Amino acid sequence: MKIKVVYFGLIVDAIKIESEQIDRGEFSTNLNTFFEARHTELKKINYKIAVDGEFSNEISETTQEIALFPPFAGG
Amino acid sequence: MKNCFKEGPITSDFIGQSIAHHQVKTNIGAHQIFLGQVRMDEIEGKKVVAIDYSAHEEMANKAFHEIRESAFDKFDLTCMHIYHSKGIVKAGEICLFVFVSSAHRKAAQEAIEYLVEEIKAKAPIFGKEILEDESYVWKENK
Repeated sequence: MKIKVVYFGLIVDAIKIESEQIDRGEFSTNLNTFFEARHTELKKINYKIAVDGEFSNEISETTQEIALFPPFAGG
Repeated sequence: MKNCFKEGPITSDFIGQSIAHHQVKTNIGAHQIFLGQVRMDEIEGKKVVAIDYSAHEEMANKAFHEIRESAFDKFDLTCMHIYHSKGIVKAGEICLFVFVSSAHRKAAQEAIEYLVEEIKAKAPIFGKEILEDESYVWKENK
Protein backbone atom coordinates (compact mmCIF):
# COMPACT_ATOMS: atom_id res chain seq x y z
CA MET A 1 0.00 0.00 0.00
CA LYS A 2 1.31 3.37 -1.00
CA ILE A 3 0.69 6.78 0.54
CA LYS A 4 0.44 9.83 -1.69
CA VAL A 5 2.73 12.68 -0.68
CA VAL A 6 2.08 16.15 -2.09
CA TYR A 7 4.39 19.15 -1.90
CA PHE A 8 3.55 22.83 -2.25
CA GLY A 9 5.07 26.18 -3.17
CA LEU A 10 8.76 26.69 -2.58
CA ILE A 11 9.17 23.06 -1.46
CA VAL A 12 8.40 21.98 -5.04
CA ASP A 13 11.12 24.35 -6.29
CA ALA A 14 13.60 23.01 -3.74
CA ILE A 15 13.07 19.27 -4.20
CA LYS A 16 11.94 19.37 -7.88
CA ILE A 17 8.87 17.17 -7.49
CA GLU A 18 5.19 17.96 -6.84
CA SER A 19 4.08 14.58 -5.55
CA GLU A 20 5.18 11.01 -5.10
CA GLN A 21 3.85 7.64 -3.91
CA ILE A 22 5.73 6.08 -1.02
CA ASP A 23 5.25 2.57 0.39
CA ARG A 24 3.66 2.65 3.83
CA GLY A 25 6.45 0.40 5.15
CA GLU A 26 9.18 2.88 4.22
CA PHE A 27 8.07 5.55 6.68
CA SER A 28 9.87 5.95 9.98
CA THR A 29 7.95 6.92 13.11
CA ASN A 30 8.87 10.59 12.95
CA LEU A 31 7.80 12.16 9.67
CA ASN A 32 10.15 15.15 9.97
CA THR A 33 13.14 12.84 10.29
CA PHE A 34 11.90 10.70 7.41
CA PHE A 35 11.31 13.57 4.98
CA GLU A 36 14.50 15.45 5.88
CA ALA A 37 16.51 12.29 5.18
CA ARG A 38 14.65 11.71 1.90
CA HIS A 39 14.86 15.34 0.74
CA THR A 40 17.78 17.03 2.52
CA GLU A 41 16.77 20.43 1.09
CA LEU A 42 13.90 20.39 3.63
CA LYS A 43 16.36 20.97 6.49
CA LYS A 44 16.65 24.57 5.30
CA ILE A 45 12.90 25.16 4.96
CA ASN A 46 10.35 26.09 7.60
CA TYR A 47 7.68 23.54 6.68
CA LYS A 48 4.59 21.91 8.18
CA ILE A 49 3.26 18.39 7.68
CA ALA A 50 -0.42 17.53 7.33
CA VAL A 51 -1.61 13.92 7.47
CA ASP A 52 -5.03 13.47 5.87
CA GLY A 53 -5.84 17.11 6.47
CA GLU A 54 -4.62 17.37 10.06
CA PHE A 55 -1.26 18.72 11.18
CA SER A 56 0.66 15.74 12.48
CA ASN A 57 4.06 14.14 12.73
CA GLU A 58 3.10 10.50 12.26
CA ILE A 59 1.00 8.30 10.02
CA SER A 60 -1.74 5.90 11.05
CA GLU A 61 -2.96 2.64 9.51
CA THR A 62 -5.55 4.52 7.49
CA THR A 63 -3.38 7.39 6.20
CA GLN A 64 -3.92 8.13 2.51
CA GLU A 65 -2.28 11.50 1.94
CA ILE A 66 0.56 13.49 3.44
CA ALA A 67 1.05 17.15 2.49
CA LEU A 68 4.14 19.28 3.10
CA PHE A 69 3.53 23.02 3.30
CA PRO A 70 5.96 25.94 3.21
CA PRO A 71 4.96 29.15 5.08
CA PHE A 72 1.43 30.31 4.26
CA ALA A 73 0.80 33.42 2.18
CA GLY A 74 -2.98 33.76 1.94
CA GLY A 75 -4.79 37.07 2.15
CA MET B 1 -17.84 21.75 2.21
CA LYS B 2 -18.22 25.17 0.62
CA ASN B 3 -15.61 26.13 -1.97
CA CYS B 4 -14.27 29.57 -1.00
CA PHE B 5 -11.88 29.86 -3.96
CA LYS B 6 -12.48 31.99 -7.02
CA GLU B 7 -10.37 31.75 -10.15
CA GLY B 8 -8.45 35.01 -10.65
CA PRO B 9 -9.24 38.35 -9.00
CA ILE B 10 -12.40 39.06 -6.98
CA THR B 11 -14.21 41.73 -8.96
CA SER B 12 -15.93 44.86 -7.65
CA ASP B 13 -19.09 43.58 -9.42
CA PHE B 14 -19.02 40.40 -7.35
CA ILE B 15 -18.46 42.39 -4.15
CA GLY B 16 -21.31 44.78 -5.07
CA GLN B 17 -23.64 41.86 -5.78
CA SER B 18 -22.77 40.28 -2.43
CA ILE B 19 -23.74 43.49 -0.64
CA ALA B 20 -26.97 43.73 -2.63
CA HIS B 21 -27.94 40.16 -1.66
CA HIS B 22 -28.08 41.24 1.97
CA GLN B 23 -30.76 43.88 1.48
CA VAL B 24 -33.44 41.26 2.16
CA LYS B 25 -31.87 40.38 5.51
CA THR B 26 -33.42 43.24 7.42
CA ASN B 27 -32.26 42.06 10.86
CA ILE B 28 -28.75 43.20 9.87
CA GLY B 29 -27.64 46.62 11.09
CA ALA B 30 -23.91 46.53 10.29
CA HIS B 31 -21.64 45.09 7.64
CA GLN B 32 -17.89 44.93 7.86
CA ILE B 33 -15.79 44.14 4.78
CA PHE B 34 -12.11 43.37 4.42
CA LEU B 35 -10.52 43.44 0.98
CA GLY B 36 -6.99 42.19 0.47
CA GLN B 37 -5.32 43.79 -2.55
CA VAL B 38 -2.13 42.69 -4.29
CA ARG B 39 0.48 45.29 -3.48
CA MET B 40 3.13 46.32 -5.99
CA ASP B 41 6.05 45.71 -3.63
CA GLU B 42 9.56 46.19 -4.86
CA ILE B 43 11.89 43.22 -4.33
CA GLU B 44 15.56 43.78 -5.05
CA GLY B 45 14.68 46.67 -7.35
CA LYS B 46 12.00 44.74 -9.27
CA LYS B 47 8.29 45.47 -9.04
CA VAL B 48 5.75 42.78 -8.10
CA VAL B 49 3.29 42.71 -11.02
CA ALA B 50 1.08 39.83 -9.84
CA ILE B 51 0.70 37.00 -7.34
CA ASP B 52 0.00 33.47 -8.53
CA TYR B 53 -1.97 31.80 -5.71
CA SER B 54 -2.03 28.06 -5.16
CA ALA B 55 -3.44 26.06 -2.26
CA HIS B 56 -4.25 22.70 -0.83
CA GLU B 57 -7.84 23.56 -1.64
CA GLU B 58 -9.52 20.82 0.35
CA MET B 59 -7.59 21.71 3.51
CA ALA B 60 -7.94 25.44 2.94
CA ASN B 61 -11.71 25.09 2.54
CA LYS B 62 -11.76 23.03 5.72
CA ALA B 63 -9.73 25.75 7.48
CA PHE B 64 -12.16 28.42 6.24
CA HIS B 65 -15.06 26.31 7.50
CA GLU B 66 -13.48 25.93 10.97
CA ILE B 67 -12.60 29.63 11.12
CA ARG B 68 -16.21 30.51 10.21
CA GLU B 69 -17.58 28.18 12.89
CA SER B 70 -15.29 29.62 15.55
CA ALA B 71 -16.21 33.19 14.57
CA PHE B 72 -19.93 32.35 14.86
CA ASP B 73 -19.19 30.97 18.35
CA LYS B 74 -17.19 34.01 19.45
CA PHE B 75 -19.24 36.85 17.98
CA ASP B 76 -22.94 37.57 17.58
CA LEU B 77 -23.03 37.46 13.77
CA THR B 78 -25.88 37.18 11.29
CA CYS B 79 -23.82 35.97 8.35
CA MET B 80 -20.31 35.63 7.06
CA HIS B 81 -18.63 35.05 3.71
CA ILE B 82 -15.01 34.35 2.80
CA TYR B 83 -13.63 34.32 -0.75
CA HIS B 84 -10.00 33.88 -1.75
CA SER B 85 -8.45 33.97 -5.20
CA LYS B 86 -6.52 31.20 -6.84
CA GLY B 87 -4.35 31.63 -9.90
CA ILE B 88 -3.08 34.97 -11.13
CA VAL B 89 -4.12 38.23 -9.44
CA LYS B 90 -2.43 41.37 -10.76
CA ALA B 91 -1.13 44.22 -8.58
CA GLY B 92 -4.07 46.43 -7.64
CA GLU B 93 -6.63 43.61 -7.90
CA ILE B 94 -8.48 42.01 -4.99
CA CYS B 95 -7.40 38.56 -3.75
CA LEU B 96 -9.34 38.26 -0.46
CA PHE B 97 -12.91 39.28 0.35
CA VAL B 98 -14.21 38.78 3.89
CA PHE B 99 -17.73 39.98 4.62
CA VAL B 100 -19.44 39.79 8.02
CA SER B 101 -22.81 41.11 9.09
CA SER B 102 -24.42 41.58 12.48
CA ALA B 103 -27.31 43.38 14.14
CA HIS B 104 -24.97 45.93 15.75
CA ARG B 105 -21.57 47.22 14.65
CA LYS B 106 -19.36 45.99 17.49
CA ALA B 107 -19.68 42.26 16.70
CA ALA B 108 -18.91 42.77 13.00
CA GLN B 109 -15.94 45.04 13.75
CA GLU B 110 -14.37 42.57 16.16
CA ALA B 111 -15.11 39.55 13.97
CA ILE B 112 -13.50 40.94 10.82
CA GLU B 113 -10.13 41.44 12.51
CA TYR B 114 -10.25 37.96 14.02
CA LEU B 115 -11.20 36.39 10.67
CA VAL B 116 -8.46 38.02 8.61
CA GLU B 117 -5.75 37.06 11.13
CA GLU B 118 -7.02 33.47 11.30
CA ILE B 119 -7.18 33.14 7.50
CA LYS B 120 -3.60 34.38 7.11
CA ALA B 121 -2.32 32.03 9.83
CA LYS B 122 -4.31 28.85 9.17
CA ALA B 123 -5.23 28.45 5.48
CA PRO B 124 -2.64 26.52 3.43
CA ILE B 125 -2.43 29.04 0.61
CA PHE B 126 0.80 29.91 -1.19
CA GLY B 127 1.67 32.97 -3.23
CA LYS B 128 4.25 33.27 -5.96
CA GLU B 129 5.11 36.95 -6.40
CA ILE B 130 5.73 37.47 -10.10
CA LEU B 131 8.24 40.23 -10.78
CA GLU B 132 8.39 42.54 -13.78
CA ASP B 133 11.22 40.56 -15.41
CA GLU B 134 9.14 37.33 -15.06
CA SER B 135 11.32 35.97 -12.25
CA TYR B 136 9.50 35.23 -8.97
CA VAL B 137 9.82 34.94 -5.21
CA TRP B 138 7.59 33.07 -2.75
CA LYS B 139 5.54 35.30 -0.48
CA GLU B 140 5.42 34.59 3.26
CA ASN B 141 2.86 36.01 5.70
CA LYS B 142 4.44 38.04 8.48
